[in-house]
Amino acid sequence: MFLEAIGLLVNFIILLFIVYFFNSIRKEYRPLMLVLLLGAFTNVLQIVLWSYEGINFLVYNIIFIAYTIIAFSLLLYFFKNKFQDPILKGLFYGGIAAIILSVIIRDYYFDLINDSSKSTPTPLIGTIFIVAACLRVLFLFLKRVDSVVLYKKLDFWLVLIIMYYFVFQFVYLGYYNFFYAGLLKSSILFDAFEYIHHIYYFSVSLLIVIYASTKSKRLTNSLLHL
Amino acid sequence: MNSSQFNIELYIYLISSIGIFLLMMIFVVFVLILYSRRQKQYLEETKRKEMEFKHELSTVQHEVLDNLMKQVYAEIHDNLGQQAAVLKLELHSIEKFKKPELALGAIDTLNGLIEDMKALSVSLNPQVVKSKNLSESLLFEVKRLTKTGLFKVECNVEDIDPLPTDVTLILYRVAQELLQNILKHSKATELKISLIENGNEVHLEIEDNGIGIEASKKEGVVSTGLNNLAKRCELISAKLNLSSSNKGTIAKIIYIRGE
Repeated sequence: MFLEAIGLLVNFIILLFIVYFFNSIRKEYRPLMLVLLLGAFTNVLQIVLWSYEGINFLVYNIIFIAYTIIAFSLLLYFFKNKFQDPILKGLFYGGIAAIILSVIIRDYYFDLINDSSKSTPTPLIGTIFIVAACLRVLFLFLKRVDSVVLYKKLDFWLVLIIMYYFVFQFVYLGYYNFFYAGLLKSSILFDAFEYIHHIYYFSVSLLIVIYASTKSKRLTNSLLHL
Repeated sequence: MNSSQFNIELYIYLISSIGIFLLMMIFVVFVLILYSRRQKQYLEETKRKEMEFKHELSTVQHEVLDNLMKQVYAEIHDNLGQQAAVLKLELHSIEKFKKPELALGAIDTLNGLIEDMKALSVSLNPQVVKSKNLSESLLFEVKRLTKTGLFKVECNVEDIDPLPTDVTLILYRVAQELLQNILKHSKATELKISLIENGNEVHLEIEDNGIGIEASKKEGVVSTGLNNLAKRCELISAKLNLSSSNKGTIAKIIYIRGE
């Protein structure tokens, strides 16, 4: 319960932060903000529903799957829109098709109640596409070299934290599966991972908001010149 | 699944997770190193291009000055000198035939001489030369070509928005060189010059009805000049497109503002 409370608090802060900054966020970064906003909202909704009627995988799945489809599509849209590259465009359309197909093919998924053993491949497929998009953007950075040093480019850090976040998420989901399959004797490892995940998600969200916001540009510059 | 089997799986999972993160760290360091190397190359290349641009610009400036000197020489020799000689003859006639009415003709010649000298001095004024935009400079060239009487010149030069000084100078010099080539080698009788602005694009087109580049080459004209023109256009990110046949040559230069 303590973990859920922490999650709730983190997401609440993120929600407030994004709402406060939303007007000053540059247009091209708005899809990212929507992803964060949606993520925080989904998490809050899940926690509220869980505390109301206990862990219900049907509710969890429906909310989570809707969030996954929209969030991954928005993220891929951000990459396509921001970096204007044909491969990223292909990843955007291919990603959406793959994510939707993965939901349609495993439609029995919605019929399962309180059964976590048959988890959806959607997050995995989405993650693969996002990481591929991040790698492509890093390659584009190497291709379009200019006079600005790479570590002073906000987009480089942004892409890097998105990539790290998704790889982290991937590893975290592995622990999650271990835990819910009852394979972990002690919950310490899972709890530790859950805390790290919350802290990481919180920092990543804050960083993205700061980077994308013109209001906090001075703050970003001072951070980068530390 | 028994406990030891599970432990092995968990250890493998833990080790592979740590491995993934380590690999990602190495990957990022690799990207940073690769970027800094490429950036070093890029900066060296930019510096080299900048030096080349400055050198080319100074050459262009010298060439423009050289051409101007030649034009001034031709103007003094062919026009002012002739007018002065006519004036001298007219003054001699007045003195010889003692006819004061001949003075009127001499005054007319003197007025023409003064007008031409004024025009020449204005065209040589550094302020006027510097403030000339591409349209004015091209019109000046057209006027000069028309004066030769060798061509029927069709001119469509629009008054375009000012371009950066370096770009104006290089475009003007390229146009001048193309016209010079037409004058020297093309054997053309008709010439079309157009300068138009289309959005942020500036189109400069020079067309003649001469023998074409290939035929000129056969007659011993070396094409290094054309390569030089293409190189100069490249320096200002303009595109030079030459199409030539035995019915004439069309040179199109497209400069995009802000590129």
